[in-house]
Amino acid sequence: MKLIKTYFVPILILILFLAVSPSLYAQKDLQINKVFEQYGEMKGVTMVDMTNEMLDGYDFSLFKSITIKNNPTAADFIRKCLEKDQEGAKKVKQVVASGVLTSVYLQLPRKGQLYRLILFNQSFQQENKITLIYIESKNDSENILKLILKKK
Amino acid sequence: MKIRYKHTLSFEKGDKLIEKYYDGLTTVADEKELRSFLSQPNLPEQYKVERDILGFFEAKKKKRISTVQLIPFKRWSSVAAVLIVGVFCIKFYMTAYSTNFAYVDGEKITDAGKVKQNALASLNDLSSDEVADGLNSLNDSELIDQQLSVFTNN
Repeated sequence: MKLIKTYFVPILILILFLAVSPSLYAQKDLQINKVFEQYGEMKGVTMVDMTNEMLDGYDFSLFKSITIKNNPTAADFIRKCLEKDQEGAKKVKQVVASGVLTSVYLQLPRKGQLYRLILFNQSFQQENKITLIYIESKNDSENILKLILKKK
Repeated sequence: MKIRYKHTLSFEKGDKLIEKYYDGLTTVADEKELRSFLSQPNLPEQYKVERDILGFFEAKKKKRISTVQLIPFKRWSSVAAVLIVGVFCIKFYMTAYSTNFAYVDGEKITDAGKVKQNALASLNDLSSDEVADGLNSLNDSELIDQQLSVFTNN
């Protein structure tokens, strides 16, 4: 009885932490999180953050995107982040032009019930535009990619 | 038939212990012995005062011990329970309700329609012609044909 009383509160706190932590930290462990933090509120940047939202017929738990114009430093920084985040991930598609990564779609390992995708593209048409998207969904990644690969 | 109750300590020894107690010379063992002497039933009235004194301290000691044991466990259990309920309420609120916002040139937008517009625009950037051409060039069979043609042309 004394043993139960001694360990009751620490066990409760441990259960609490284990129950809550996966959902709160599914994307906090990624390096690309720094991109959203550093560049999200700057001029010339568009950042979107949506949770539990339907978009174009698809159900996302989390949708985060950032579009940066005319910033080669940001592009290099994003590539460095992607180098680390792609460890253990499946490269669905990749485009390298003149030795420089210009487009990559990464399927990250699942976190609990969530499928995770990182999508990156650098476009040189008209202006230097970088697009980085992070998606979490309970739907299979393949279905989400169908939305992305639709030709407009 | 009368039942004679045999006291643990004789009255003489009891009186000596009481005298020693008032002189402040009793040891812990002496006080223990004195308490057991005074706690037995059917003591004469002359011991009522000493019984009340030592009996009072005994009750206070027991009360203090039990209070110290219960309070920390109850307090921390209630704190932990409140924390758990609070966290699950927050988690439920976060998962039940959607939160949408966007930053455009440093300005925050919370209009759901405009946020979705910006989200779709970012998805359109990914499905541009340039990307599609790049993806088409990754078609394996075409790539193999291209590479083999180098050898057949030679």
